[in-house]
Amino acid sequence: MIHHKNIANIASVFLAMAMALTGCSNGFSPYQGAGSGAGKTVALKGSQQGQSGGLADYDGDGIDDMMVGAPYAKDNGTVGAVLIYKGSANGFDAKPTWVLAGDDNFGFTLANLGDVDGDAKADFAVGAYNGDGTDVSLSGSVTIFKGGSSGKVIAKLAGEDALDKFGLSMSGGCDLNGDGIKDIIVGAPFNSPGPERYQGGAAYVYFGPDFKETTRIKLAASTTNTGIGFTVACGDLNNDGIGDLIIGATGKVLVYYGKSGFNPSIDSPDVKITSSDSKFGTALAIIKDLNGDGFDELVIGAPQATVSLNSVSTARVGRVYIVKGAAGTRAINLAAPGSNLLTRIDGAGYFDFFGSSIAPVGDVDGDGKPDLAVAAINADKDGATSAADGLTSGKVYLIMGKDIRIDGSATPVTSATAFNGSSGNMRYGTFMAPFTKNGPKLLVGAPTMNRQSGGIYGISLESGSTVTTTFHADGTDSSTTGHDCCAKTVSKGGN
Amino acid sequence: MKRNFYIACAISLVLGGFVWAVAALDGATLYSANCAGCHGPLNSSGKNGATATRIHSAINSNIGGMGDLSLGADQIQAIADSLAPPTVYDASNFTVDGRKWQPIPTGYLAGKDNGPGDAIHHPGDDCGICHTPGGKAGNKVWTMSGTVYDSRAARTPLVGAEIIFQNISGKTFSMTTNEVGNFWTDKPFFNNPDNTDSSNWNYKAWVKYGNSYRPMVSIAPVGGGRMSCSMHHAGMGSRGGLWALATSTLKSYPDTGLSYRKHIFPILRSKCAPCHIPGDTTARAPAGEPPFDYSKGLDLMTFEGSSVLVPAYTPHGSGPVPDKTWTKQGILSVVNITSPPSSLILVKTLNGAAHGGGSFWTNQDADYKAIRKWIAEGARKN
Repeated sequence: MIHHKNIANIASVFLAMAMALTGCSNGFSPYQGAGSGAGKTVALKGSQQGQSGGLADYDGDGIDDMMVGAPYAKDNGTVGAVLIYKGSANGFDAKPTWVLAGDDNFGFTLANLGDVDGDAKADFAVGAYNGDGTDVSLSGSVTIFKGGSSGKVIAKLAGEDALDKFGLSMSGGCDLNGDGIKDIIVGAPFNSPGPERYQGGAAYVYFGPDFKETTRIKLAASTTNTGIGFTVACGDLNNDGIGDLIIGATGKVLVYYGKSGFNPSIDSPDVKITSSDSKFGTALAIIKDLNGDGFDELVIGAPQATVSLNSVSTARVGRVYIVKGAAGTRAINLAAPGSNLLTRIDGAGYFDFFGSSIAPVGDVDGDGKPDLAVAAINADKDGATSAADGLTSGKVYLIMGKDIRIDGSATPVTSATAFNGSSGNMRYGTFMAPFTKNGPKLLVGAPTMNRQSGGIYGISLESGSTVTTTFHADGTDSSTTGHDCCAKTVSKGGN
Repeated sequence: MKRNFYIACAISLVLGGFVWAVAALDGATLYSANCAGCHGPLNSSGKNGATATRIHSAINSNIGGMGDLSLGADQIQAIADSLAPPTVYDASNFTVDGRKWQPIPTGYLAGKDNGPGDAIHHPGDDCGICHTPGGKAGNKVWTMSGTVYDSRAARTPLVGAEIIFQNISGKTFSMTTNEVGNFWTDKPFFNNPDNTDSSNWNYKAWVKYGNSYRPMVSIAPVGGGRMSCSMHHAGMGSRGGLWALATSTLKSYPDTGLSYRKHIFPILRSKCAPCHIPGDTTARAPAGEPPFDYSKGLDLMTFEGSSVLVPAYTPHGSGPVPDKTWTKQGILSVVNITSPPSSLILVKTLNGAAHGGGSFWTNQDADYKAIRKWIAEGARKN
């Protein structure tokens, strides 16, 4: 059951125990809202805040609130939470205002779905990879919340069998069957479609507005397409006005064009893109038209790709491909992509994992071209020589559309603006979510900082901004969020 | 190609990996340099069985002039390890038959091989990516490392679990997991630093928490090239996922009306996989020995059992395996509706029973009682 709870951030499990015994609030001003969990606490030590996150209007005041997934937060018998920081005109509450929790590992994934129920307010979904359904246990679950309702649930979805990890990936914001209502896609990478495809995985599409299991479709692993469900995405690649389904598979990315009566066969994709790069398809995103042909483009991350750096073949550097959108069916081998490939962007260093996550950030410089954020979650903070001073901190690159090549040649990552993680081993960039509050901003998750307690950062993408963080939140008093965190505008005319 | 370092692998329930590791503390070498002059060669030392505490005491008391020795605590422990007698080891254990479950080793100090540092980072990742010569953490190279979770569901990392390895010489290595579930050591695991004899690269493994422990069913024959534990111990509980915490799979079960899908299958998939799965479940055998099917013809991931054609393949550089249809029985082959406690699935898994996959529970544990009740209610696919 999902419920609101008071939050008390604690420094250790022992303190949590002490709090449970004494009932102290640890200095917080907890939300006293309705909910079965009111008065409880969640322990954030080791919770990996920032594994997921995003923005949606939770309480209906017309201002988006900041949501941070903490999938290993400990509650009274459950694991996982989503911390919600109430938004204001210029920022967010400094500490979590509300907490959602329920199924185990709740908050591992989180997505703003857009308006799925027709009330003109964006709704959101939270995944719990060890959640339950009404007639199945430990299958994984996804709960769809009604935006602006302070926690009303539109639907709760669950996997088919125990340990399917349903909800380990999900995506929304697209209408795949052309009925005018947005749908949701959920991956279950350990689903077994049959004994011969044990743990081959599956992706499911649930159609809005009711998201019934009886009408959902399943794309299950086949003998030729396996490893389904680790990555799902959607967007309109063929520019027909209907969203398209995009799923990662082992060594492939598969695209199925949306249409009325959408029910594709896994082995009959409209676009098949193959690559020998390690972890190809780990991250997927759609960006607006780059080359002026009227079609949006598909961005694919391969964060463990081997890349030639200084003429040395170097493992796990990672790269990103931008494949152009088009109508019609295509089979694209990225070893010989022809004109299908707009560009390739290689990471900068060994073990950087460039392309771990990708976020379209709109057109932040106003030049009419889409800009892109790409994370390299294991890149080193500039100048770091040890974990203590930022080795393997993670890095986020802001790549401007004007710098992205469209002739098939490689775009140098050196043209990007790099935002460093602040400390070692924090996986800066695990999730990224753009938003606008007095200029374009980007939420950046760092789930393994501070001994796995994690946190999120906000950075300003506006031209002329510094590359230092604008705000930081980890559920503690050290958070630097606040109602004025994003109030100040930067001076223009920088880079 | 010879390499002057050892190959080992990391165990993780989410992502595992291998580590190319420099020999850090070789007890035999240390013994030879510091002890053999008075106590003779290691293999005939009169000090076999001496503990680290005893060696410390002898040095501190300057017994026989040992006060001149300048040895760190980890070096003394390494010497003590080299002097330790075999525990469970029997040469036959490292044959095909030896792949059968062996009792957990005893007579050692839990966590005695914990590595230096705190390693509060990247749980579930492939440690060997950084902790490898030339890697980002090439100055801290482990011979074994990984992450342990509470269950195959990877609900939360398990703090205080013990990971035990035993090499072909009977030497036992023990590590305990830290606050994020990580374990690691830089102790050398194998006897041949020159990597010339691959038969010495085998080891056995157990994961233990309290009275609950899981053996690795097969012997891990690492070496001969890059070998990764993530082949099996990967992806948040794929084929080789391990678990160690002796709690029930579900938080509660009803007293009656047990459902196969809702209550029983979660137990089976948590505790009976990775062995009892469909398809090819052969473990790699040492050279010259037949492969070992660790599923024993039982598939508990399907109710009715399964029949899966596995196309020909060439495993691990050895000879080709022809097309084969793997036909396995389902759960009804191991239940006894007329006498539920006599069901093989319960008899084999009780603490103390002989089961290659280890002991799971007592007859008072919730999982055991749930399965027993479901069988008593007719063992239905409900």
